[in-house]
Amino acid sequence: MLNRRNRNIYNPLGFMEKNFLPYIIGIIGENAIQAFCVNIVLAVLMKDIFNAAVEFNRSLLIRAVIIALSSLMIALALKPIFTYMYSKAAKKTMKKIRLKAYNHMTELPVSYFEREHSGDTMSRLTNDIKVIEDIYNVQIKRICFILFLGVGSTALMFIYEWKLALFAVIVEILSVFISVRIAKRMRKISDRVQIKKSKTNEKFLDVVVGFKTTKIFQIEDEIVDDYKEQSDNLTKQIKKRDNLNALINAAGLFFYSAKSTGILILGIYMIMKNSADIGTLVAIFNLQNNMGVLFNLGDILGKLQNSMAGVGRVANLLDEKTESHKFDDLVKKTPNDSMIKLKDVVFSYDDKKVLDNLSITAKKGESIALVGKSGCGKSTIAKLLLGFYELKDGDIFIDNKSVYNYSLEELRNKLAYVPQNPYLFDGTIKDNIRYGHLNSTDEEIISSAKMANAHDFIMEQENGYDTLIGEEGAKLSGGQKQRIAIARAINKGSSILLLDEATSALDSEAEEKIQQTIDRLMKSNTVLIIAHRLATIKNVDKIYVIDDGKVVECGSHEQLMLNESLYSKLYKTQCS
Amino acid sequence: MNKRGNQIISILSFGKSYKMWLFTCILFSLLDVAVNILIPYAGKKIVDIISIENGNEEFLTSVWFMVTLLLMGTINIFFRKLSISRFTEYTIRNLRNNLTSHIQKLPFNSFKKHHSGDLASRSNTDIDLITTLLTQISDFIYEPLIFICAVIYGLILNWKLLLVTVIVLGLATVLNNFATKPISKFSSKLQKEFGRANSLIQDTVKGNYIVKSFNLKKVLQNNYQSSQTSLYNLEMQIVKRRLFTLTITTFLLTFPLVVINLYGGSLTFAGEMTIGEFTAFIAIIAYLGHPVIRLITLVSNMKAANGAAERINEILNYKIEETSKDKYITNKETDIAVAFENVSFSYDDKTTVLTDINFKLPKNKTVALVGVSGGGKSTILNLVCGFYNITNGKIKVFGNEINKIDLKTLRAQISMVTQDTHIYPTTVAKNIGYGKKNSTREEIINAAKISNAHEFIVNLSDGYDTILTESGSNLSGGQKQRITIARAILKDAPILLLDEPTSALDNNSEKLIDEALKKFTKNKSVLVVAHRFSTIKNADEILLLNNGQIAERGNHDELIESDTLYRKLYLKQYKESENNNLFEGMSYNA
Repeated sequence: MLNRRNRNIYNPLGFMEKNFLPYIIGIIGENAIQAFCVNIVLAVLMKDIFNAAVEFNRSLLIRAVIIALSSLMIALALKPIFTYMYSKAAKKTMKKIRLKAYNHMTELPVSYFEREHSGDTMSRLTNDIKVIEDIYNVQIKRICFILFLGVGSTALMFIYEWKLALFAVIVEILSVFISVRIAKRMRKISDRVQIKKSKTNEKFLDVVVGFKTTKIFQIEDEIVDDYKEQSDNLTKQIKKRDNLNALINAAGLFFYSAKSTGILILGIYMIMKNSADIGTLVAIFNLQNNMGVLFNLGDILGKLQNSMAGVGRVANLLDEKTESHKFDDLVKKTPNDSMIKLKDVVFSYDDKKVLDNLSITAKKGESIALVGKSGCGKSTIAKLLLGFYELKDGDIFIDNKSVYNYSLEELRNKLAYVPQNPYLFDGTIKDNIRYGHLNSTDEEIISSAKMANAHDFIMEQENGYDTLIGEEGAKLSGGQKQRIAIARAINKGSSILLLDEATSALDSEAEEKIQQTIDRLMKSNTVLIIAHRLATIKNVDKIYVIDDGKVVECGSHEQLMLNESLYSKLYKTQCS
Repeated sequence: MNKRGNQIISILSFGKSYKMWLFTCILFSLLDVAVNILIPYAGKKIVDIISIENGNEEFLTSVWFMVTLLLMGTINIFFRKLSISRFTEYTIRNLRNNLTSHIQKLPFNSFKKHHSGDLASRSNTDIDLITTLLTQISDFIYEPLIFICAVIYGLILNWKLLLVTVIVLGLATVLNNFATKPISKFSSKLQKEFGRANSLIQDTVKGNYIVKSFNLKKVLQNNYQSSQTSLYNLEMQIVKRRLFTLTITTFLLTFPLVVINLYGGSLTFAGEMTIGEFTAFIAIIAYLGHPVIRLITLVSNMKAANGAAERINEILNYKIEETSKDKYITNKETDIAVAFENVSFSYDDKTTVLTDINFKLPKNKTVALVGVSGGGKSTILNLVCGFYNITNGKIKVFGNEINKIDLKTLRAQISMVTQDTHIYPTTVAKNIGYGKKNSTREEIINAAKISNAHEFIVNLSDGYDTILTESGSNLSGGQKQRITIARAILKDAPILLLDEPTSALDNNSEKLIDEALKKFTKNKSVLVVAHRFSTIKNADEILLLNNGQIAERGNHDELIESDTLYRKLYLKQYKESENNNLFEGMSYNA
């Protein structure tokens, strides 16, 4: 129904597929039984009991007992079966949706993660999916129940005594009409209260966060007066809200009383005129409460509409294109014997050209460094090597083979990457290093850590390699995290190490340790360093200076320092 | 009353002047009890008319009685709600205002004990908890009373039926609680499993570079699958368990009503009560069950509010900063701006932060504090402001011993610029104007010009009237700092404390700020904390702090010549530091 009206609204039941039938049978069955055999039957029962009491009719009393017990038996026997049916169908569907969304997310390209806020993606996978579960288990269930109970009760009222039923319906509509109007005003005032509340909070934070400054400038009184002003404004709005709230309560009670006493008085009058019986009156008295739930339907549908937004966000995630890679069977070899070779590489994000005919080579066992101002495209090169983005033009050769001759998995196996901000996974330090190579033994992990200069500080942690990372576990410094990330990369055992230096400043001790590690690695691997601090790369074989997406200078540290190069200028500013 | 109860009472004292509202509410609550118990009685009268011949007149009287009761009930509920709201609003407002102004008056060390988030939650969550309790306070009278009245009326109507009702309802409630309990055991397992799944999601999103470059996709997918499978199994276990519970609950909720109705019907049948009495009895059943449930909620709200009150009282019980001491005397001592004489200090009386510190800051000179972080440099600045009480020794500001004088008058002599000087969420002009009471727009603009801030301020959307967001997030770090410097300039205090004012900034803003400081620190006595040696090279005296003691002192040339720690640190930084050249020739007292 919703699907037809707007193409952007997704049908949450569409995720169910073969679970749909048991779900719909279960949810209808459960709520029909609840409404008829538990709630409405009580009115039927009371009708018979009261009539029996007044007419001294014993057989009517017995009938009442039979009706009550048999419907209770039905409810107790059948309801669990239906509940189980729809719950299982819903849970199965939820599991399917979660897996589908998660697996899809792992297939998304890096560009997606760079574009979208991480919190947003996580929220789609957790909160928004939870919303779908809510639709299945709460909202649809509630709608079913309201329909059965409301429609069933109203119908029965009209069958029993249409005049009383009509009266109840009219009063109910009047009451809804008025309460909707008040509710609208209420929402407005509540919003204003919220705004004033957050203003007051802001002023409070001012007191707390600006404490020292306030004292030094001796403006305590001004700041507190500002707070009090907001606080008084807040109270004014709250007063308005509470006035309305009192009115809503009074109005609600008034209409409720009008309806129930109206029915009572009218009913008794009709009984006196012998046009109704007491049992019918009592039954209708009971049923009119049930009828009221029909008017909650609008509320529930409104909430369902909100939930649809969540469904849409999940569906949008599933619609995102997954990572792609052009694979080429025709093997393209490089002429010379190089480990990394970028040949005339052109790359742009959207329309912004980042790399322009850039060529870089690193021979086997060689170490090279890329330097340049921030935004010159250094980090992009690492991302291209790893196949995170597709080249616009040119080619990249890894171990003498074009990247297009590798699958993404093969390509990434060739390179061990240490990103700028080394993310460590939830788990122990050992787990994190093991992620480099899943089958590695503890010995291999320890030797990688030693190589990365991480072993010593790991052993200092409370549980050594088994220390948990994160809030409850080790609180690691930036330099320590980086060294664990390097150990993870070393453990991977790839022939090429790709190191994107951290931009944030490390303390001098940490920097020294990382420096030692890099020097050690350069001896045995092909290393590409994206350098932010020039002091760390003096020992590499070749330095490429990149400016505006092009290589402007290339050579060893000594060569570049000889003449008036851009490098020597950069070096002097940084290291003089 | 025990100590816990007192917590709420001391909060209630904020509503003393509004107790009339509370009494009004109690009055209407009592009326409400009466009305609510008379309504079933009126209903009984009306229903019983059907068994009276020619009851037209009586019918009319009863109907009028009923209508009057209902109108009264409507009026009651209106005034009950209104009066308790008024009482709550005013009491809470007073509490809120008092709490805030009390916090503002606290001495720094008791303030420091609490994280700002903790204080914020006391002012929000805790006050909300108390608000909830206050709005329900009259229910502590209403609910027990209506329950008692209902029991009495039930006894009058038919004691047998009342007995059966109480037994059946009570039993059902107890059994129901019993049946629903086992579920909670599962929910912690479920939470844990959800936590595992969520941290996998977080790892995949935030670590997406690693996941891709280490080809971890398959592993993580398998982990997630296994986590989802155990989640599913756990949830299905709960579903099965709940089916059992639900069946029992359905039975327990329905069966008592069936029993009461049937028994009542048969009692009426047997002539032990009239049909009207039976109707009235059914109407009061709600008053037998509801108050019990309600009181359980009220007690738990009471407990929560008590905890909240305890936390708020903890703050309110801290002594405020003393202000009754002697006033600061100008010209008591003109040559020495700040003097530390054998000062020792500890935050907690256990670990000493500063030991035996001695130094003098002569008027219009600069003293620099250097050393590794945690050496106690910033603590010295805080002590000059009188934020903490020293353990030993004397600190003098222009000859005034600071723990003997009124801190407000002391602080008038001091300006401070740190990395985290606060920006208030108000206009730029007001932020700067806080430096001096009743400052004119010209003075503000002048100060902004000196601090190199004028230019960017006039380019803001509303110039000097631009409202800055909380913590100044619509400005860059350098712009914020220049506004705080303008504020200090406007204050024009003779002593200036600088705590690494440029350490978190980019080169360009650093340059602008250094320029601004250079202009402004002429004719000021400056105490500066810095880690860049270029910043402090030109200071008149340098104090190197190590482990809370002055390890070395002298000017740059003296210190660099001998084999000092200073020299070592200097050479190390000289080798490693970036952008040192920007500071060449920098001096605050040029």
